[in-house]
Amino acid sequence: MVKGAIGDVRESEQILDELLVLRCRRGDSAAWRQLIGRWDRRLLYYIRRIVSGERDAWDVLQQTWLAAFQALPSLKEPRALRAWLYRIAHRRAISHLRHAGSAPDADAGALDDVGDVPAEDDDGGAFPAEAAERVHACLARLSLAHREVLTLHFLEDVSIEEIASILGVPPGTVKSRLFHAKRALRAAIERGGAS
Amino acid sequence: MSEKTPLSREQLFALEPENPALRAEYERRLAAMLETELTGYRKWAWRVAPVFFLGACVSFAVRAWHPGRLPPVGRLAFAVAAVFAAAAALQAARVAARGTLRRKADTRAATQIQLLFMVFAATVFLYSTPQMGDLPRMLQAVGIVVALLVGWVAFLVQHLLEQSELSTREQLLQLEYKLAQLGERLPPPPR
Repeated sequence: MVKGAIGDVRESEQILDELLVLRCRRGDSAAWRQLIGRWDRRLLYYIRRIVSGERDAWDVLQQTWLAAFQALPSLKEPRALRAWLYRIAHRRAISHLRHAGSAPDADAGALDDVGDVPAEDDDGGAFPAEAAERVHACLARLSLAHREVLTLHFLEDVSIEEIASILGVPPGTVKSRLFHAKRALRAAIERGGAS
Repeated sequence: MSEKTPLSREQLFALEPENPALRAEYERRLAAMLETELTGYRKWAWRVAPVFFLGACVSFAVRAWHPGRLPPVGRLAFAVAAVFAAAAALQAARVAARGTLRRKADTRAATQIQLLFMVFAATVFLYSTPQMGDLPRMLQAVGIVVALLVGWVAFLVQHLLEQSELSTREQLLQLEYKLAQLGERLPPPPR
């Protein structure tokens, strides 16, 4: 990690992504391949939590890259790459669901307006490494809105604001969804463990 | 309280096997998005293009070289046109030899050569308009060419500035990347 010119601490992995974005904007095909190689597993995991069926997920991932390929010149700030890529993947996946006739479920909507969530959840929401298998299996039992927000939380160290910009909802909604999603996941894990 | 290792994304990836056939299909389609293999008539078109541009280059060079027939400005114009034709021949030969078209890099290089050539041709045209004689038609032609020229030059300048800015940012980021890597290799400070 390094102290940047404006005082922020940035990891080499993040700087490498920014470098690759600049090289892609200059038309470097090798940089594109490297960028795709660095991101496709994460994006695929995220898309598979939204779209059912592996074949469809690969199709959505390819559409995501195609859209990124066309729109990259408009990405003026390479630091925003992560949110930008997930936002494209989110839109493509939701559009795929709509075309397939399975409209996104709205069962999390009722929980979005519950107001403030307890602050303890920031620490209490961590899942240990040993729970990976159960977390992975139980994610599928949650609603789409909860699945999405938790997947982003597990895959990346994404801030509430960043998740809000990816999903196109207010930060308060993200906070609330994350709180309830963690509770729902814990309940699902406990039910799974008991059965 | 014992410290627990948090869940990592690699653990989640490991729990989700991929179908190798679907990945291969995805990679094939992505490769086609970045680089198209030249087949059929396109392959032949790219093989003929360097010969055509080389022929144009030789023809322009001969006209530029031949003394007496043209005024010095005309000869200079043909000499510059020969350089453009040589650049186009080189670019087309590279694509033909590679056998693939890199969608971003190759199309951008071709556009840059064409655009520069249009700016040059328009400048030559403007220089030669006083010889047209018919003043209203001459003014009309000059007006159109100047409008086009301003647009092309503005586009070129903007493109060059953007490339220069990207290059500077890339160099700074490279430096920052190296510093970050060094920083990450250092042992954490003692408490």
